Amino acid sequence: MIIDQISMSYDGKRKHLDDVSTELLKGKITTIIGPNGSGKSTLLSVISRNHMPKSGEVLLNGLNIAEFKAKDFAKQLAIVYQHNTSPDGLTVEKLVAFGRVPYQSFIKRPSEEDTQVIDWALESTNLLEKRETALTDLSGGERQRVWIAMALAQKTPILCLDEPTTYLDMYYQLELLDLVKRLNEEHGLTIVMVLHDMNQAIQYSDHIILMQQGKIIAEGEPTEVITTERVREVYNVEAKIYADDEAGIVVVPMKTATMS
Amino acid sequence: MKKRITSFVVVIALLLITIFLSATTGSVSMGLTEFIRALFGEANEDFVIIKDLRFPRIIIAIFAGAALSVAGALLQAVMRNPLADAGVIGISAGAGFMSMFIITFVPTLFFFTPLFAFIGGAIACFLVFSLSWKAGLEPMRLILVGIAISAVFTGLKEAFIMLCSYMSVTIDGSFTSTMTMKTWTEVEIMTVYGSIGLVLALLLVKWCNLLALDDKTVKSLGFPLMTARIVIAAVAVLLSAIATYVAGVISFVGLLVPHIARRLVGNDYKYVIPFSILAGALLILVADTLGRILIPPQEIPASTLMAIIGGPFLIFLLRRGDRKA
Repeated sequence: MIIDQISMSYDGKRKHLDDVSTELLKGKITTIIGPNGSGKSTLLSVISRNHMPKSGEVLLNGLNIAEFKAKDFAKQLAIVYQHNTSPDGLTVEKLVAFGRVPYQSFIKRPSEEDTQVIDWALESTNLLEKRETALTDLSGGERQRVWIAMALAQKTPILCLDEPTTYLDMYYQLELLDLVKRLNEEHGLTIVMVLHDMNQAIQYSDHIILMQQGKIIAEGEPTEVITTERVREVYNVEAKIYADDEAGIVVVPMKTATMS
Repeated sequence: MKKRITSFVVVIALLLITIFLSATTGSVSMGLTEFIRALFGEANEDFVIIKDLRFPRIIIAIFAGAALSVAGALLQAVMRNPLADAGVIGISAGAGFMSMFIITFVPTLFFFTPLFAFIGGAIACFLVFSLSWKAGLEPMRLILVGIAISAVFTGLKEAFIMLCSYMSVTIDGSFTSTMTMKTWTEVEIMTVYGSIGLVLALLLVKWCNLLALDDKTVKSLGFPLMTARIVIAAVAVLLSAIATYVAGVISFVGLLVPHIARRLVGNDYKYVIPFSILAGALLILVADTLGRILIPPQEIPASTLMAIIGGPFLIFLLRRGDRKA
């Protein structure tokens, strides 16, 4: 997926995305990070066609995503949002089944393949036993997994996640990111996500895009992108960065930079 | 699951019992065996009276109740608002006004009145939708705008009635929202258009279920959100317009019935719609029958009874909504 000179503004005044160009690598985990209002979620929403850019284009397999039919695009890219509402009493299986909507039409009824894919999505997210459970009776972590399962049921090569861990406890945050990593490794899914936690981004991503005020400040491998200077410049925070065998590096924020 | 089946069985049984009671109670009455025999062809003079006087009324009550309930359920799906009801938000008033307008000024178009009722309802629906839209539909604002629109159309209609009585033109009884003196012609209009609307509603259950998700999620599934909204709203307007045209404005049915339906059979529209058809038919038939037999020979219109039950219920829902928020 190629992002070519995207600019975007919600109100016509402030540039929420300012001439952003990059490429999202196939089969890799790319994480977009940056402070609040840096445009990271906006970028994700342009990629996922939830918002149209003011200028520039996003190319998928050489084709502008604006030209895809809605259903065809939904077979290429699925997205999980940080906050989702669902009707009371809806069961896990029924929600996941919605992921098959792009493959169904008004007349065409659910097929054998639909059932198989739904089973696979439930299995991959470890939800087979909960299929008859109502969403409202699940924990926050389980619920977020259900939304991922729904996205998986779309059977897309690309999966986007918008701050999927925000409302979760630490245990569920890691559980969820492990799931994302497994999906990437086992099924070759291209993952694009927005994360708040810099260390999680470093630990789980192949590629990091660091944004500030609608622009990409730096991108590349986590250990290259994250430096003390950049953390100070972008987040206004003094941080120490230590080498770590498993994660590569660990960022420890010390104090706000303006206070010093 | 068990609760769902029980609910369906009970509401069907109650509906059958009410149909029987409604047909056989009143100035002309008969017992069950006599009624069933006559129904299967045995000559019976009383039955002829019942058939011509009460059957049209019963059928219209059943279809009007079903149509208004389903219209309510559909509007609630489209507007994602448990308080939406064709009567409360002015769709019925719009339909009523428009049919009145056409009959008064272009009586030659009488045959197309149902169509104009639909257009009137659609205008009201569009006005409510666009005027209360402000980065999403906030339930309370929708209701307030709806009540205002409803008041305007009701006012216009009343002004017309005044004007008409001044010009000594007779007004069709249906606009005063009673179900007396129904003819088979009206039954035909109600059943034909009503059935079309109800079948369409049953075909739309999957769309209705999808609309319960967030807009962005629905869009990410490649689902034509706007088209679905317009189609579902159009079916809702068709149902409420036709019910209004034949049976007059009856508010709160579309509020009450789907709410009870969700309590009993769950939120899945696959069950909500069929249950609303049955329970709506039952409710209006009960209201109409009670209105007819409570203080003979006077009648209380079904709409009046519904307003008495429905008003407090709306307040109850609003208060509950407050607590949830």
